[in-house]
Amino acid sequence: MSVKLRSFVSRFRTSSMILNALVRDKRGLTGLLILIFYALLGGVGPYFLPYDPILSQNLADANAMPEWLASPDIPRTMNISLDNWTVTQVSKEGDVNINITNQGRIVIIKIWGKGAANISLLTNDYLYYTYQPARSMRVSSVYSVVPIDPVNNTILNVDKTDGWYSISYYLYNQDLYGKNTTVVTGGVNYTLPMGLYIFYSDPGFRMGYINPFINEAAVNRSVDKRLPDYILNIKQPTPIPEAVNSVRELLLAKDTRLKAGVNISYYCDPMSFLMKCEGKSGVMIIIRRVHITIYGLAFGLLGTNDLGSDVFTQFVYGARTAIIFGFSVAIAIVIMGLFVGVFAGYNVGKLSDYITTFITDVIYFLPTLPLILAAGIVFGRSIVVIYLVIVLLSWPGTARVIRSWTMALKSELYVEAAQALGAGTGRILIKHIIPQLVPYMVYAVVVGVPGAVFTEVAVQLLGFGDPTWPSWGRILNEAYYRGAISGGVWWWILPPIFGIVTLALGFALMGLALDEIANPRLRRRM
Amino acid sequence: MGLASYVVGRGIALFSVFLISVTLFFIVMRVLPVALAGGDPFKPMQLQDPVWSALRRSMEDPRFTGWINYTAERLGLNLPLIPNQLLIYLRNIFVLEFGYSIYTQQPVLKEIMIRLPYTLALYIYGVIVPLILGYLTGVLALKYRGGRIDTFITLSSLTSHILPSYILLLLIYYFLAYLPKVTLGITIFPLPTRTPSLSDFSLENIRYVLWYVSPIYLSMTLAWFGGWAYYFRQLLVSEAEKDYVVTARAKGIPESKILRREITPNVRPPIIMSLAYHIPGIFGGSIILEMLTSWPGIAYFSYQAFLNFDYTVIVAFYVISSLLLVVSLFIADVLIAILDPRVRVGGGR
Repeated sequence: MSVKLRSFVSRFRTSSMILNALVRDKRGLTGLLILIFYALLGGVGPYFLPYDPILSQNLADANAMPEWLASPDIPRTMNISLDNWTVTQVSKEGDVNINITNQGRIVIIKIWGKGAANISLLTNDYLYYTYQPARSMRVSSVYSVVPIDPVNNTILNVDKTDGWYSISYYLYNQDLYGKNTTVVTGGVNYTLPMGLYIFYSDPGFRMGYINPFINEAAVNRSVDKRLPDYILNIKQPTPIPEAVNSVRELLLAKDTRLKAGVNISYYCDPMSFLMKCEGKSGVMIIIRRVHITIYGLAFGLLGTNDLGSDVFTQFVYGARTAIIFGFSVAIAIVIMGLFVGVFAGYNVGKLSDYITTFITDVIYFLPTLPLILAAGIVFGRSIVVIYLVIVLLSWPGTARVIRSWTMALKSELYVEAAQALGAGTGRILIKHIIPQLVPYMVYAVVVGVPGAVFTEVAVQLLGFGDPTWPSWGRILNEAYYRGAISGGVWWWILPPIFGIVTLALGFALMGLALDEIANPRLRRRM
Repeated sequence: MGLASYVVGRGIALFSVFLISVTLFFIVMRVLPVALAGGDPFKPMQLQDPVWSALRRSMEDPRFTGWINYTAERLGLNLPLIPNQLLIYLRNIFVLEFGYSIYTQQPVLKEIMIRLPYTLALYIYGVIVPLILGYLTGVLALKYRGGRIDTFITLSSLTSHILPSYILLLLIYYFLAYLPKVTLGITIFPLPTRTPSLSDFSLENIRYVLWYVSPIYLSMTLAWFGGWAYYFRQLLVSEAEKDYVVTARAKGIPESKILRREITPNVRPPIIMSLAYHIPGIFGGSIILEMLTSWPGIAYFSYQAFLNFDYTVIVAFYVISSLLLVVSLFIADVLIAILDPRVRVGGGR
């Protein structure tokens, strides 16, 4: 064996030998290409992706399918800001003054006096909807209510003698309005009017009631609703059964125009004992644009998960985590194994060897997973803790092999010759023994990476992974426990599996190619 | 004589492995957090102690104050961590007294004994069946060496070796449980929605348990036979080229008899040796499968305990895991010693 090994070693130079073995061998080349692919994907990809893997949510509807799979009819995410208001109706009763300044994007409405008024606004812009009805949407806007002195045209402090006002926002589908649809829920047929949905109504506030504790001059209120809202459903003029998806059934249809509207009513009755309205101060209402997002059912390369995050972004970040984590764990394991193995192998037969070997054996047989879980609950679920536990528990395998290699190398003639020439232990180790171990160390790193990735995935699957780190294991955990299997969301659960398996396959192929260099004794026999 | 002393020697070594493993766990769980947070593990009542802080979290509810003092006293929390609590901990382990679960208020040993058969059902299957299947595949590969079957076996065993069992389980759940049910209306495997009952021994329930466990068994088999098949193939091929096999062939002994009488006895010791080194992996794998499928074994039980910080159950789980490992290793060692006389003479590995 020793003759074979020596001739073998002298035939190659270590570094070029490893590269040669990888590139010449078809398996090694495949593995290397897979590694390069994932390294590029994970290393460069995050700089080109516009979304954050964890924080970017609601990019599309929950579990939206991949875009390249979807027919053109499947809704895509649409974003539009509707402004350019027109006043469609102004009606008043009694001694009420109305002053409307329509600047298009912003409409400023001043109302004062005793009596009642009703003003309706509608956008000229519209959203032209060209897909099948989507499942959900989001509407948002901001409006302001300011108490004013109409005579001097100044802003007042809030008092309790101003009029009551009420603002409601609604969505208006121009082409569906006036039609009826029949919806069956729970075996009951409902005939419901289409095309109008009130998504916000400020229920008759008086200025002083908005914030009675802070005497603020202006009050900005934001409207932000995710539709369908099942509580809003039953508050519609024609109540809609809770189970009806109002967006899909009532608001959207292919090739229709969707607008937003506002309805403002004002009421000031000085005779009412309850109101105590004096009609001296007025109300200035500022209406701004309405932003509509219709959540698509098809998004990106790999669709979205249940929170509407982009799965492809998570996949790319997961590749980065897998490569970085896998390599750092494998390299640390090999370095620890090298130190311990060389120490034990060089002192073979001595007490220090027995002690080291015993410790190695003990650590080899510790149950890894329970210890990771224990460390997780005691020290927190961080990737550093997982890293440390894996490294501290996984080095014995490498150390054992390196020990036996060192033992074999120590009895080589050239080591004896070096000893006879008076070389110190350090020189022998660095010059004669460790260089011979480099091929095995490279092999051990390559073989160790998938193990580290798998352990991280396992820890994540158990829910003890780092919640702030995107990784393939985390996607798997979320997919498995949030119903990707029972919902048939294959684009969510299969990509991480594919990534894990192909990465492991690549490293295994590289390991096979390096096997013959690293373990010359195990040369393939057919 | 040789055998007995060898067995005793291995027993002592493995017992010390167990002792160190258990002590290390105590240090990781109790002493290290205290020491890292600036406490003194040699003094009593260290507030950084995770068990204390877990108990104190429930102290906000006034109904529990009496219970907390009682529990703290029963667990010996008012003693110094080292040496008093460590010694109590070790003593309790040696008499297998794990106390009461803080969460369920039942004796831990009772809870674990109920669930142990379920864990063993996975663990023993995971040790034995892939081994046998791998052996048969290896023999098949040897028989058709160099042929198409051999290539197929090598490829499939490598694939199986790469895939971890839990990934396979997820694939089985998706492709063999969900998809056939939704697309074709055929129910092949169950999804882990309803965990089987522990105490019902009716025929129907036993059938349900078997059906429930079948995807787990399948994933174990598929994931773990490959490593064995590859290993056996290499082992058998290298053994089949040895001189004694050639001699046997020259004598005209039929191939099946050569395999049974000549080769198998020679490959048994390395197989058991390698089994001993695979045992930790198999154990870890069956733990993950248990937790993923809500299989009511001790791993799933203690997974709940980890989430609730049920300290006594966590300790019992760790101790029993170590014990299972050490006992399996000991059995493997004894088997090697019986089968391979060289081991006894050579004095260890």
